[in-house]
Amino acid sequence: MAKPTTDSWTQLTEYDADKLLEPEFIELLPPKLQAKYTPQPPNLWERTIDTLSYQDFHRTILYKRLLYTIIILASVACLTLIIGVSLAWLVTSRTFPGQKFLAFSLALPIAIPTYVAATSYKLMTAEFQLAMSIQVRKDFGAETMQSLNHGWNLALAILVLTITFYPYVFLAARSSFLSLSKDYLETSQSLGKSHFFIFRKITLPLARPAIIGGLMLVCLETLNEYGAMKIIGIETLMTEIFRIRSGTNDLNTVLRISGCILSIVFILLVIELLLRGRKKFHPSRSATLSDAAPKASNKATFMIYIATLPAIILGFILPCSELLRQAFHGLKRADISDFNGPIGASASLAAQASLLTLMLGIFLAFAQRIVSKSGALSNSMMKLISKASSLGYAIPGAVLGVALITWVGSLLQSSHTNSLIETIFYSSSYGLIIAYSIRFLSIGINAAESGFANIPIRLDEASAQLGKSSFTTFIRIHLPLLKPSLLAGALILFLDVLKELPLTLIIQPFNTETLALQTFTLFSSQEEYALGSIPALILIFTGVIGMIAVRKILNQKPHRS
Amino acid sequence: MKKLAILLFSLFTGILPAEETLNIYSQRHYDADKKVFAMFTEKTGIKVNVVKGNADELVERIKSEGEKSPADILLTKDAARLYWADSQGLFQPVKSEKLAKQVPSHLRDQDNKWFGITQRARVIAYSKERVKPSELNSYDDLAKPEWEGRVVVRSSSNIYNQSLLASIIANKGEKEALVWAIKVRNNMARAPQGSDRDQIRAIASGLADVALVNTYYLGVLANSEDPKDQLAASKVALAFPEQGEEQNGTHVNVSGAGVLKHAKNIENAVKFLEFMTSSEVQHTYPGLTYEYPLTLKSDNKLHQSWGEFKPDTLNLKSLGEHNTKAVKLFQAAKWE
Repeated sequence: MAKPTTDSWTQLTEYDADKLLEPEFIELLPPKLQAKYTPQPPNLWERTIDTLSYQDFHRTILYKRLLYTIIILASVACLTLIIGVSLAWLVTSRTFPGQKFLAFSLALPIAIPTYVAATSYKLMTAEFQLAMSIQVRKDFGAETMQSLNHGWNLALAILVLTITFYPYVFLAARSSFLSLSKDYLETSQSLGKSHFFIFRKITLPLARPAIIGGLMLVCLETLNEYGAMKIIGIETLMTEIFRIRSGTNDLNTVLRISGCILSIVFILLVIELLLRGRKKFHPSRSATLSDAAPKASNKATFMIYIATLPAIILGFILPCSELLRQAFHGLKRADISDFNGPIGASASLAAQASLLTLMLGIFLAFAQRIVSKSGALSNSMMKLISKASSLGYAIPGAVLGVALITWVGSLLQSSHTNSLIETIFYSSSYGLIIAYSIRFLSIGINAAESGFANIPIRLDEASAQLGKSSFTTFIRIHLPLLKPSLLAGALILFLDVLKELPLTLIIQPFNTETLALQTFTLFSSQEEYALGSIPALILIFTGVIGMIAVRKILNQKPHRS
Repeated sequence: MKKLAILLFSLFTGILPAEETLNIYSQRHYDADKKVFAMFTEKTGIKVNVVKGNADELVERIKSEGEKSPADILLTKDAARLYWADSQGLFQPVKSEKLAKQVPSHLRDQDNKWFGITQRARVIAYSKERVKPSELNSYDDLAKPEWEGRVVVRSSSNIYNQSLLASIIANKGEKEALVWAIKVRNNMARAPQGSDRDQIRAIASGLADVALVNTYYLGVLANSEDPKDQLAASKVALAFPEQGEEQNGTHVNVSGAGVLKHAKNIENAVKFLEFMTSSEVQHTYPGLTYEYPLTLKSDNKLHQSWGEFKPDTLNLKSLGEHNTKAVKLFQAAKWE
């Protein structure tokens, strides 16, 4: 910024500096601002630009972005919590025909990447939005139209994020409900408590750690969302970071906004710790809720279907049908064999990365369980380590990617690590798999932790008294009991890696073609929606197959030898 | 059996039998590029490896890889990005008579560090029903009061808008550019949002009458299989501004590439640039991406239907030099 030249300048307060504008720009300002900015003789062009952009930026723009971010975060968190938990309760608390299929269908939207859902909804609603805007402008004027447009985009963003993210809460809540002990419920029922009372006073508190964990993932994903916001036309803190970084490269402002985002993440983490901290119950003992749930009457079954249908339609059927319509046009000129490579690459990357991440997650959660029996200091140290390892999820993928590639670059330059790094990051996809694991470790830890939380520590003690080592206890006792939570975690990991974009864009080795990359390429760079819908649909389909596979494994009754 | 052994060996060690290769970091993610690269491999026997990414991140990657970077070529969608990569010292100068002949001097770096490959013009799209092309002779026309509430343009975070404003800064000065940006922003029918395609749709629907768009987007829309797209494209025509004798010509930009400082396959890289700017490839791109060739002499039907135009021959380096200022001016103009 140019320094003031005369003495009087140095005495100006920041507020006075605000008033400095060249006369020709005063005319262009809205009337109410014209009075505020009176012309002052020492004409400084730089100051005019700075007054108009920079100072104003910090007062209003940053505030606006923060406001939008918080509105979206709060709405998406509330909606996914309500929708996820109530859907999970609806399909778990009673048995009815087609129950498992319905529960499966309700998780389907998780297979759709947010940027694909956003594109699909944008394509579906674009014409209606235009027609509505024109009508509103005719009847109520341009300003009403502007605010309506903003509101519409905001609502669309909240809708898209809610429908693609609620399965995180739904899956966590359902797996937790399923593993609830029958005893609690039977005791309450025998005490004559109502169904809703049991839900409110027993089921919900017991499932709380898992639900909060799922909700936390939703919050972090929402905060880091870039693609969908860009497509729908909403400016948040995250989009502002990208705009400034590629525009002015003004590192100060980028850091300031990143600080804003990180403080929100920090607040969220503290809230999570507070809400999750008091785990007193050790539920899973004998029979579980899935065996205990009463049968639903025909009328109730019908009501359950009616109540859950909107979620499936909005979350899966509508976006997929628009993609199908587009792909129908695209298939006229696309060569379907072009997509064989990407399918294999995507599936194998996702499978390998989920396995690695899950193993790391189990290791950390298990270590924490063992350490928790020893002193308080090492216990809190371990907690810190596991919290720190899950930070990858809180950092935007693109930021993490740039940090990683800088690190890889420096290792590449050193003669000791050069050939190793070259093999991992350049001649193979292992580097990408490691990167995914860092990014998604939080999900792995989460799955393992919530699984361990349901295993009473008494079991470990009993096993130890029988002279079994921790490792044997883990293999013989923990692992079988962990299976449902681990599989649920594996599923989320598989889908998340399949959909992942920003990291892949930065760390990919040569000639990598994943389905997500292809979809993004066609949607975003070329605006070829008809062609892009083909890999998008294949991506969703691959995800659904992964979901079916996990469901098959889960449904297998454990063999006794 | 031997082949299998070699394959297995290379799978485990990542070492492939020696062959001529070229490693490209590309910001262009077009399917068309894949076809053109295959043409190059067929002609020269040089295998092309590609990493696709965003320009900013690719530049970060090349910088952090330093001397060990495997990349030979950086390919971007915009001249400002090439200038930026050059200002970070990533390119090396290339001596090639072919390139000097095939790339017009305003479409390449003066020190021969980067070269344009395909051209696009940023023009004014207008409603055939409600606008006469004679009303649109200059970008300045969009700033006139009669267009109040009739203009739509995408966000200023878009590099094509930034480069257009950078060219106005270079041609007319910063003040003119800021006045223009403020006035155009005030004339907008809605807050900037969506892609160039969305702007064309907004005109077709009647929300607005004019928009700033890149030429090839109308090509993509007009050749879409979706009848909705075709209908939208049929209602919109393009005006090439600044065509008068006193005027500078329509703003153009390039996709382009340069040979990286630490390239290992320099010869192949130069061959690649010569190939990309050769008349064979230049005749191929218009039909695939609706981009203009470097000469602007396209035999594509759509291009011919738009007629010939005079391009702004401002050296594209200016787009990079004024990019930061352009972003600042957009911010000052409250152009989101």
